Amino acid sequence: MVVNGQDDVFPRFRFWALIGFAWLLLSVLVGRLFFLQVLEGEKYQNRSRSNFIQERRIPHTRGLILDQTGAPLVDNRPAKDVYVTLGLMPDSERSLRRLIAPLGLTHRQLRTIDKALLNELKEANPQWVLAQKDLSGHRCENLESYLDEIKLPGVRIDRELADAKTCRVHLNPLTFPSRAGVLRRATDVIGLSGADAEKAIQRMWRKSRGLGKFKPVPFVMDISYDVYARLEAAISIGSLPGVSAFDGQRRRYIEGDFATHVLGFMNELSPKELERRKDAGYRMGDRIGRRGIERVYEETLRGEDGREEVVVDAKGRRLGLAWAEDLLGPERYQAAKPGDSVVLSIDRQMQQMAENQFLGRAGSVVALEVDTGFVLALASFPDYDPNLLNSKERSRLVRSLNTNKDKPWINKALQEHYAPGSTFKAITAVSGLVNELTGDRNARYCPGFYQLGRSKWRCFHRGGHGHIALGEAMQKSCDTYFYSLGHELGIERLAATSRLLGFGKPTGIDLDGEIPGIVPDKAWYKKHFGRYSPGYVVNNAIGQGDVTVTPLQLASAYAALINGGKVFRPQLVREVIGHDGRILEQNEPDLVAQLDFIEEELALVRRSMAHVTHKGGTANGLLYRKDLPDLSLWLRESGLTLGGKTGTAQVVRLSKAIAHLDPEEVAYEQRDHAWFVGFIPAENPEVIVVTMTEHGGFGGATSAPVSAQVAHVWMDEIRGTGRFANYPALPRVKKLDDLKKAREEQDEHLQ
Amino acid sequence: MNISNDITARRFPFGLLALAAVIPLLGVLNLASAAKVTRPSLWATQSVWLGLAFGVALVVIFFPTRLLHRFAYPVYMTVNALLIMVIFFGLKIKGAQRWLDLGFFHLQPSELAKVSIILVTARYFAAYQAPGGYTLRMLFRPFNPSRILLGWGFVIFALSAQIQGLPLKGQEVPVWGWGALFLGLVVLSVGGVMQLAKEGLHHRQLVAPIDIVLIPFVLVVVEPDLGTSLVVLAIAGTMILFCGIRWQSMMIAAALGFVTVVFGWNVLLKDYQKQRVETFLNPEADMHGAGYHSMQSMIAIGSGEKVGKGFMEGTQTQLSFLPENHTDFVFSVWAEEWGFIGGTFLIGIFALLLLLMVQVGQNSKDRFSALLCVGAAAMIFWHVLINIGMVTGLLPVVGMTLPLVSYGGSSLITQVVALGLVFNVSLGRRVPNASPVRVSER
Repeated sequence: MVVNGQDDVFPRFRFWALIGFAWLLLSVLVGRLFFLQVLEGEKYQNRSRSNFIQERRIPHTRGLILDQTGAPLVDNRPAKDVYVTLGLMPDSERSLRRLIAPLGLTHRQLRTIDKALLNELKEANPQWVLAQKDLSGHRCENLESYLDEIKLPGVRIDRELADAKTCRVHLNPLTFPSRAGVLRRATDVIGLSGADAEKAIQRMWRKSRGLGKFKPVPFVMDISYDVYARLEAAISIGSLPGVSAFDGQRRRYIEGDFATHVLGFMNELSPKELERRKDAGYRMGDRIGRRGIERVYEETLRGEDGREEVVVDAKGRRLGLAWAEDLLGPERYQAAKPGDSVVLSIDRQMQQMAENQFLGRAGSVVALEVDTGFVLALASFPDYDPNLLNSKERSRLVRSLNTNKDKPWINKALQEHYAPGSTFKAITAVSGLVNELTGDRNARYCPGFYQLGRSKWRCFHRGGHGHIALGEAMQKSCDTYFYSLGHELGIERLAATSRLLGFGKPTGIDLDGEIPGIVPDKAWYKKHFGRYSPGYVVNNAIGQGDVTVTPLQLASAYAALINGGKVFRPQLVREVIGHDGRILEQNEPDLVAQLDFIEEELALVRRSMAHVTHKGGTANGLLYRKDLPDLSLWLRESGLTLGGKTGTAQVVRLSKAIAHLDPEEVAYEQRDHAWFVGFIPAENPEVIVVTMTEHGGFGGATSAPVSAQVAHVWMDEIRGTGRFANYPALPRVKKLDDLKKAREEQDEHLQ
Repeated sequence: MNISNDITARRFPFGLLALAAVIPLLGVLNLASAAKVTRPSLWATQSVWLGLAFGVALVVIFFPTRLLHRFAYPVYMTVNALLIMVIFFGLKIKGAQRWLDLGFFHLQPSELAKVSIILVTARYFAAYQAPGGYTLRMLFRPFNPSRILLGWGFVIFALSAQIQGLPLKGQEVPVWGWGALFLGLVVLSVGGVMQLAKEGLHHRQLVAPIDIVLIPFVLVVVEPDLGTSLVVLAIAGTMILFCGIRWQSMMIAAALGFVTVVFGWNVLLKDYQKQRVETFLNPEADMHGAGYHSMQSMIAIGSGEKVGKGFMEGTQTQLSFLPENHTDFVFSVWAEEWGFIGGTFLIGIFALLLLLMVQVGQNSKDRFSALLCVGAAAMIFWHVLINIGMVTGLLPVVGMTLPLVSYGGSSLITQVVALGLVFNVSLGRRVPNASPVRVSER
């Protein structure tokens, strides 16, 4: 029904209702603003800052490791590292989503295509992936213009063969924007293939978890310069989004497999360690000292990273300094603090000599300054080149080191203990002297064996030494003398003297992993054997029973015996210097104990050892070595005496008797360990060199030449130079000078 | 009749004029900051548009109101024709076909549709009035044979297409879907025949009042331009609601709306469309995905805090974290640089502007003039509400400008023309056929 009415205008309240409605909804907007800007303002303020602040880390330079002359043993070389930021990489799903509408894809199809793309990328030659077929002609044209517009690469439109109006669409796994595509292109450029690439990608994924997505994480470290050039070229044309190459530094062990066990090595922190060390400034991808000086002096060598905050825009482009200064203030830049360097007491020449002597054998050499305890050389064999631990060879090297029976990882001077053999006789002798059981004129009879009750211990000299005094017993290493002296001493007194000299506990050298060795006493036997029998000490007295020492302990103890009873803590670091060369710390000799032995008694032992290298001594072969004519000549003519003590420690207990077997006749693992403790000059010792050759046979034959060679370097090259300049000059020997001159001329001639 | 007499007879709304001038000027100021990096001279371009819009406004203001009334339908027809032309010859930018290339100017007919819907709705509902309010049946006339025939035609076309193996939009309709469609059409057909028998042949059998809204709405939706189509719907809806709808009908409309949303979500929307809605509901979940714009806008606004970062000091804006910061996201720029105080101030000015616009309508002497003011106010209101709601993360990102503030000639002129209509009304000139025809259901 339609009626004419007179309602010319609307009732006034309707206008009020209208405006009330509008204002109500607008007040909701004001409420929302209040929530965002006043209540949550600070949160969004922080988020806007993290939007535009990008923190760039300025890596510090690690301190150097120098030898006693100041020559670098470890430094840093520049390197290029590849990092990736997953958050900046294109996401294949997002790229595919742009094709959902134009191709009419369902979500399930999308996932199938995504998977197919990924699978193709694992192939050596990725093939195009079909995304959609039988697309109508109209849609094909739309798609073409759409692709032109959004610039989506890697999409190919093919006309169907049968029917020119429809088309099919293929995607190129390599160029269609996806993470896997970018990573594949990156590994192709870097030259990683198959398993290596897969491993690098897996590692990167692990590190990118969570917030790591927006941070650059290490991908491939230390690429070569031509790879770097190719990579930068690819990055600059934008084909590797999210991939960047950063400047880094790599530790360089200048001489390769040199003093390996002293210097140590570094490797990357694991995520767990990272969590623990975060507060100390460690970051993802950082390396940390794992062994040796690198580990013990980690805090000294490590500097502090600097940081620079830069302002970036939405596309991640860095904006100029003016922006940064304006928004972030002057605190945005903090320079890196380089680490401090350490000066070792190691002398490169002596170390080199020690290492040269040891090709193909296992063992260790320790050379100490007798009057300070500083280490002049410390070598362990077999060794390895720590540079290779940061190279492609890494896994192969680690595998071979792990399976090597000679345990190359171990620093045999302090992380391995051995029976000291006859070298222990000096300790037994001192113990006897201190306890007044022997002396200058104390002679004992050696019939070739020692008998206690029904037990019989053989002297290595089957015929027996006859009546023999302490000095000669040391020189000839008569076992019987020390069997009997040991028995008189008893295990407790022998152990007490051993402990005073530093056995049975770590010396405290500034290296990691030092072990204490064993000084058995009654309690020890009760614990391990259930009971103590008086016969045990007889073996221990000649270093053959259950006493074990590290070569470093032996060196330190002998140093005390020949320097008047001062036990020093062996030290490797003389100085810590800043990057500007200023000396920050200077290590003084660290006297652990001054033994109250009678000077004359110690001198007696020292003098007796001076004859070991002379006629009749166990190391007299040194004087006429056909293979080392120069060394022998020097020992004969220089007027200096190399004092010392040999030791041939049985590895396998064949019987209660000591039976040194000819090395040639026994399997390698059963051969005796060869010890030699040498010090020079015998009258007023400056340097002590302990050589320990595993399964080396006779100490006098195998180890003594090594000690002698190192001692020779000391006397001939080091003494009187540098920090040792104030040592009194030695008399010149014409015969040796002539020889030297002849050698030099020969060298020149050869060059 | 003396126009000048009429003008002097009423007080010219200088307050409204002042507000209408201040907002676009703040907009130009804001653009100088928003586009400083990307397009530094944009504020000048906008100033030129502003001058042009002022000229258009003058024409609209002094255009005789009765001619507005007379030309309402022709204007509406023309705009619909343009919308149809867009579908066939439109310029395609970023996947949407919204523009007609006029050589010197890209005309956006959907903007004109907003003005034309104000004119035509005012014209129609000024002329017809339902005592006690309209019912849904009066508005929609569901039993009109026209739409029943249209429905049958569509179903037959779609079915034959599916049988031939070329389903529409690539989507096959399941059997139960066809069943429901047929059943519904049969019921409607029976009702249609009954209605035809009762009312006889009449032009009302062809069109229903709601069709004036639905035609431009559908034409804009298919462009696609979801934002504008919603505004068209919202403007007309506000005006019809203002004319009065029975409360029972409103309840039914609400219920039907709810069912449509649930059904639409589960059946009609495609995966990627659902994704957009989901992103809106939880923008943090996919920071660099579809929620990126929304999130960056919220960061910009929130980081403005109470007093803002200062003019041209907004980091989100100047470092390009804020997308589209000269068009849809101008308010974020404003709120970042002027803070809560500035944001509230701008919303306050809009609130005041709306009040004054509605007051002009309140003081008008006829239904057509009042409805023009209500329509214009509704247009500005919905724009402001949806735009700010969207940039503050309350509503999904649909593409909607902030009236008078966002950059863009078409949008600016549309809003200014709407304001011009209100000034026009304020001059108080008489419109013929002031008395409406009463309609009722029977």
